[in-house]
Amino acid sequence: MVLENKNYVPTLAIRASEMNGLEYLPGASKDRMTPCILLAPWANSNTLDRAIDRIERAFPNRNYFLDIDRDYQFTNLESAPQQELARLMEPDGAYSNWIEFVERHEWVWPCIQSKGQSEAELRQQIEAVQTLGRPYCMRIVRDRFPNNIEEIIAAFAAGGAADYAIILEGGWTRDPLSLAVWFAGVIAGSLQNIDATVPVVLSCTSMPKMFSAFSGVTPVTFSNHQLVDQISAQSNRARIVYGDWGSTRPREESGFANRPLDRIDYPTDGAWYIVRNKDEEWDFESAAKELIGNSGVWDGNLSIWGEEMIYQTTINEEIGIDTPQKNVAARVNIHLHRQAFYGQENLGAMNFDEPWED
Amino acid sequence: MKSREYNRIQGSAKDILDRHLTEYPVKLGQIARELGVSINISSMNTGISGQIMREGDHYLIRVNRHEARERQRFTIAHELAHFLLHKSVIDSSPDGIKDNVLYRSGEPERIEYEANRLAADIVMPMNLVEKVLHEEFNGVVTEATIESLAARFQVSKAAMEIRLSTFAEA
Repeated sequence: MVLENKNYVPTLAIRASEMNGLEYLPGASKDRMTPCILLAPWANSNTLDRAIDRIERAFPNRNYFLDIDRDYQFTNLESAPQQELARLMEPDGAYSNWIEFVERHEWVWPCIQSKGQSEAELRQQIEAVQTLGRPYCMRIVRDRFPNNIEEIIAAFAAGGAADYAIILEGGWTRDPLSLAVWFAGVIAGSLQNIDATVPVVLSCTSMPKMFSAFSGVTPVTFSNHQLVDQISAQSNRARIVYGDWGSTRPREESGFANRPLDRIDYPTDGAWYIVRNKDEEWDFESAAKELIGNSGVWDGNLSIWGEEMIYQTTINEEIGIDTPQKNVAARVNIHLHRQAFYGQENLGAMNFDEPWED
Repeated sequence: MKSREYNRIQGSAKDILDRHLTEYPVKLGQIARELGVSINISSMNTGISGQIMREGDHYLIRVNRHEARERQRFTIAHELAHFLLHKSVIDSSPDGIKDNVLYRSGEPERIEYEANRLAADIVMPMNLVEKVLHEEFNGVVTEATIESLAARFQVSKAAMEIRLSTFAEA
């Protein structure tokens, strides 16, 4: 059964911070999740396969969902990996390019590409994935809600119930609970003809877009768990699974931006603590010292890379966090770890030693 | 050409190494298993890269989870080298040998140099490096060559650069 023994589906873009944060997790954390990775070219690579290499370095020997990152901004259509990505988006032959790509990468559980497809074409794509012996996924994105939802539901319902999951993606929001009506509506409406045992992931993110208003140590709570609890309580579905964006946001159009003020972000179970101070000109080191010494929220015993990076920053930024990207990588790492073990007591006392694998 | 430390290894340990150092990336976990050494990825204190210690009748290598995989591989090879060359030093302390990020352990520097040379032989066997360099890069060392070889052998670019400079001098 897809997502059996998994309690977390983080959606992650293929960017350095996300991949580093994922890579340095203990195996025990990785074992509790099945991420949904959004495919786009890996930086400075010359084939799209390098993106898969990067994912599987970060998440080795485990299955993951893969979708095409539809928020990726094409910048250079002479670039080989961008051309490859564009070809995967071509709907010809029931997305045969996509299926061929999936076939070449054995750990991939694909999201079915539904844009512009008839029920017959969708069935054809699902059958092609089933022929590969792979589980698959229906990923419904709120901002791009499909106008062929009835065809999608009919095609999935015809394909059995045992080998797929559904991800309902709310995208970015100021407050996950504000999307409860949308999630509940899709489940009660569109999904009513889908077998109740098929797991449904509820995913969205409220990671702030602007940090200029924060000064000192500021908690930013997120309500994804309350959202999942609320929808689970009112739904007849057998499995509602927690999802988020690993403390990141979907890609946005990149404009000109100054380097953000140095800051350290520290995730707890239900909040991110943003540590920055423009007036006092905190650098990474002073922010890390404030977090560890004075905030009252620092754990320090999680034995994971993100905490280690923050701790190192208090000794020497160069071996800890000295760029905004490293701050995000450490934040992603801690967030993923905490959410993978959400609700577990005494996380710091666990032994995460694991055998080396070649 | 192999280091003098490699040439010191005898018997079944030598057979195991000779058998595995024929393809890249070298399967360090498999070599360790056959030598009777376990390897654990472990959260270790800041500045520590790895450790080898005796536990009852077998040996355990711990490698720091917070370091990059390429770095971890060199560390494992370094600790395996201690196992092959300096077992008595390991046995003389309950904590065995614990190496910091500079591969210094508090033991005489000589043994760390020896371990580094043997580690290089293990993760980047010279005959294999040389073969790939000649067959695929016409023996020309460039930035791209170093990067490509490092990726194939799963070592850091810095480690491969040092290896190739040794080769150039040889």
